Amino acid sequence: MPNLIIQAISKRFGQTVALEDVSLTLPEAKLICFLGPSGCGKTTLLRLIAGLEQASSGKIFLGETELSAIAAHKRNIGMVFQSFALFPHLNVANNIAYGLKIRGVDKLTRLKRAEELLELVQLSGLGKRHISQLSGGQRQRIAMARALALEPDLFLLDEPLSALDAKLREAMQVELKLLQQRLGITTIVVTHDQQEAMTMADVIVVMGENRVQQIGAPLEIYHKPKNRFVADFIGSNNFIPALVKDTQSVSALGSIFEIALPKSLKVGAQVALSIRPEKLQLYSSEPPKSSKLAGTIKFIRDLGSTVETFVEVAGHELSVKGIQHLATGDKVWLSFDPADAVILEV
Amino acid sequence: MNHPSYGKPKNRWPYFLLTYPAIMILLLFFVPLCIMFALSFFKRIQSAFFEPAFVFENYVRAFSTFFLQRIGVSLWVAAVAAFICLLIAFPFTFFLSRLRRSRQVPYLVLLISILSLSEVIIAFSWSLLLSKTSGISNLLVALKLLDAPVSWAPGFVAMLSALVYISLPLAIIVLYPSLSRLDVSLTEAATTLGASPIVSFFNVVLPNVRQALLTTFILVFIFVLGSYLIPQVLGRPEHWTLPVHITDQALLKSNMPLAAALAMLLLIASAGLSLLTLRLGRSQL
Repeated sequence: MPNLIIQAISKRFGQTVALEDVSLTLPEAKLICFLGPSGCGKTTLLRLIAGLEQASSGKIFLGETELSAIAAHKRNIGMVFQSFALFPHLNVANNIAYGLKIRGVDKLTRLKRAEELLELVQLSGLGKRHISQLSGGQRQRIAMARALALEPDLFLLDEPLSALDAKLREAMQVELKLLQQRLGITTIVVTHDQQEAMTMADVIVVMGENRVQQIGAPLEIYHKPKNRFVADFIGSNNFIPALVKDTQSVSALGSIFEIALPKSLKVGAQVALSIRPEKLQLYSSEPPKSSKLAGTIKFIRDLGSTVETFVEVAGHELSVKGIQHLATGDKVWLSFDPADAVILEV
Repeated sequence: MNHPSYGKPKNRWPYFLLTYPAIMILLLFFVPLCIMFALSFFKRIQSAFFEPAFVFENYVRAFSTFFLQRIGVSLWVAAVAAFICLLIAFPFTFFLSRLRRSRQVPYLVLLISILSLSEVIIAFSWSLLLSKTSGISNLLVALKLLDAPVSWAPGFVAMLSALVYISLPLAIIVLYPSLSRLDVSLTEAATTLGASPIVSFFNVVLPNVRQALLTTFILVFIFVLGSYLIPQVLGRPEHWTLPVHITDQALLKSNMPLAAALAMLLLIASAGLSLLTLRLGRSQL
């Protein structure tokens, strides 16, 4: 199966811009997540790929084929909708076999295929059930089975797990990932839940403000965010205002930190030093480290699996995660490995 | 689904409150119906009014070929009007329900305001519009599309147009809730599964709104069946529906017992047909 290539796609709804000049090359047979806050255009991009919307400009290719020139109902794309969109007037088997019926497959083959797919989503024997008799999780699986019945070139899912409760959602994330690996279909999942994207995706496309902010493997995106938007949206982060001293160091909150800087930055430029809360270490006395800051504990909150401590350093509040035995008001030292910090342009 | 708190009310107040509508229905609907039923067996006295009796002669006359044909015409007119009404109302409501909410409101307000017009105004307006002296044919003559003004009323088409006009808002308002509840993603799902717009309309949209279409059809059918003024003003005598003849018997010929018997027949015919249609609709689901 070939790559999915999105070429300079823009989409406007009247005066509103939904997508601005999006270009992407998405690898085949991988699970890709479009991740972003609501209104960032991720669902619009998915609907453009499915053909349910027409792009204002730009093209979409699947390998050599220009997908954007093909009518939606001829694209051979399987899609799972947020509301699942199961046909209420058909039973489970007929829902799954709907696409086959449109293609004129005979009834016996249709029912056999429906039973195979029910087995695939672990709901064997439910073929005769009415849609109204299914639970949310079952509907979700039937919607997936229906979308997969035609062995599509692309498998698209629009916020597929958002209607499920938290426990079921986590189980389905793993299940969906395993299913995708087994079938090897290029799969795109739209989600606003970063934990979901981190769990499932081979590739994450972070979207925000109607454009693509970063594309990469989950850990790459987490550890090496390309800009402030990504660093802020993925996980929690401390942003410390800093000033470029020379090509190797920045000054922040009254200390100097030796950090590898992007070459594009000029001496004297205003930047942000971003560091994850779990990458900061707390000490009750001055540690023998080069990158350190002195501060006072303002507030502690126990999250069960970890403790989050808010430390005020030179009028700036930093969040630290990790088990500590300290109290509010204690004078403490903070330190971090410069390799864990990321310098972002402001 | 059973819900534990939906059991019997603890005190009798809810039942007590129901007595008001019950009495009203009894007084305004059931009692007149009983009077009419009794009246239909009374004996008519020529050159006077009627006297209490228990005779079947009214029903014998009501079952004469003439009145049976009138019932046939009434049912036919009602069915044709209801069908044309649905043919217009369904696509209109379908596209209306797909507009943005703020765009839908003016149309709905307009429709409701048409509902507030009385049948009298509508009947005479149409009769004017289709008349030879001041109707739209004069406009067509002015536009050189016609040679001379024509009179289009009374006539079958004139009557049907007014009947469709008066029942259209009703049909749209009855269809609107179920069409606007129809999930747009159902047709989109059908599209991704390979269905062209026409195919998805026939095997996704229609099956999901069939019950609503049927209900609307019956409602308009009964509404038209009971209409009296529009057939009277805009129809020729051969198009007159049964209510016109009932009025004729009751008011002009002072034959109340026969009018009552005809009314009973009309009632039974429309109730029977509605039940039959509903039964058919349900069995196919």
